[in-house]
Amino acid sequence: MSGLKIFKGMAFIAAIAAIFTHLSAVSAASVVPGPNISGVWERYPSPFSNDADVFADLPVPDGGPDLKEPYASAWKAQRTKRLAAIQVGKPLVDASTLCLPEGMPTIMGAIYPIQILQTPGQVTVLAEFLTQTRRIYLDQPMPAPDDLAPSYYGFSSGRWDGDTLVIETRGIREDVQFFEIPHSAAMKITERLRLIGPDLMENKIVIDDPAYLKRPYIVTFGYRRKNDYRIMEYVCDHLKDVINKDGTVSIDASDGAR
Amino acid sequence: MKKFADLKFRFGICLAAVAAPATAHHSFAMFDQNRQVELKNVTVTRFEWTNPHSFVYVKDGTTTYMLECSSPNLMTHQGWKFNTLKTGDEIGIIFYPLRDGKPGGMLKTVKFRSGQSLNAW
Repeated sequence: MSGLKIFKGMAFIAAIAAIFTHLSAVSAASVVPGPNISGVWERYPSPFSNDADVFADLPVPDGGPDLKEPYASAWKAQRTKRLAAIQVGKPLVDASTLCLPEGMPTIMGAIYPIQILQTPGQVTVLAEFLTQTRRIYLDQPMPAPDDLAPSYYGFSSGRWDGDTLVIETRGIREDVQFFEIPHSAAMKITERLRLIGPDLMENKIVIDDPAYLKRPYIVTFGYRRKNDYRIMEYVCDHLKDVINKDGTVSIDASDGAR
Repeated sequence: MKKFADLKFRFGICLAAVAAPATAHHSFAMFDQNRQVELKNVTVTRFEWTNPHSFVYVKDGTTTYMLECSSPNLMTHQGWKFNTLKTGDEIGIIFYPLRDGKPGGMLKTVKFRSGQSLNAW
C-alpha cells in the first residue's frame, strides 16, 4: 500500500466520522422540544421605574403579596425598617451582600443577564449574578415531599404546553425569600414562559402558598434576547462591604493601597 | 475638604442614559446622592473590572479614594473596557461621596486629558 493510498483511506474514514458526528448532533438537536428560547436574556423593560434614579432600591413587583396575618404585619414592618435604614444612609445587609444565591423565584428577576440553554430533557438557567445555575427537568414527575430536600432553587419540573414552557417548582428553603416575603415549605411556584416576539419573552409567575397568602401572588417578568452579550464571570473575591454588628452595611474605603 | 468643588446635584442627561442595577448587590444608600464632588487631577492607582461592580482607586496628594462604578455589563455599553484605566493615568473625576465622610464614593464621570469623558453610571 502506497503512502498516498493510506492517506486517501484515512481521509475517507475521517469524512465518514465527520458525517456521523454531524448526524448525531442533528439527532440530539431534534429531541430538544419547544420553541427556541436559548440565548442571553436581559430584563425588559428595566425593573427600575425611573432610569435616572440609580440610587433607588428595587421595588417589590406587581404590588407585593397579599399575605395573611401575622405575616402581613411582620413583612410590612421589615420593609419599613429596611427603607428607614436606607434613608439614613445605613442600608441593612441582605442575602446578595453576603454573596448567597438568590434562589427561586428571585433568580428569574434577572437583575444581571441570564442565559438559557436547551438540551435534551433539560432547560438550564445560568445567571451572571453570583454565577448561579438553575436546572429545569422536562417531563419529570415532582418528587414526593419526603424526597424533596429544601434548597435554594427547589425542584423544577417543566413541560411544553404548546408554545408555553410550564414549570412547577417546589422544595424551596423557607429562608430563601423573594423581597423578604415569608413562605411555607409547601410553597408552589408555577411559571409560564413564552416568546411574545422573536427576541422577547414573558414569564408569568404564580406563587401559591395557602398557609401564608390570602390569594396567589402573581409576578410577570419580561426579557429581551441579547445574544451579542457574553455573560461575564462573577466571583465574590474582591468585596469591599463591611457588615457591621448592627446589621448595616458600609464600605471599606481603606484598601486602596493594597 | 476645602479643595473639593461641590457641585449642585442635578439629574444629568448622561446619568439618565444608564439603567443601573444599583441595588443588585448592596444598597447605594451609603453614598450621598445630593452631592457631587469633582477632583480635577488625580492619579489612578488601581482599576478592578469585576462583577458585581467595577472599582477605581485614585490618589489625590496623600489621600486615596475608592470609587464604586456600575457593572461591567452596563459600563461596556458606555464604552468602557477592562483596560480603559491604567495605573498612573492622570484623570479628573466626579463622584457622589460616601455619607460617612471617608474618602470614596460612587464614580459618576471620568474626564480624560484628551477632553473625552466616560460615565461610570
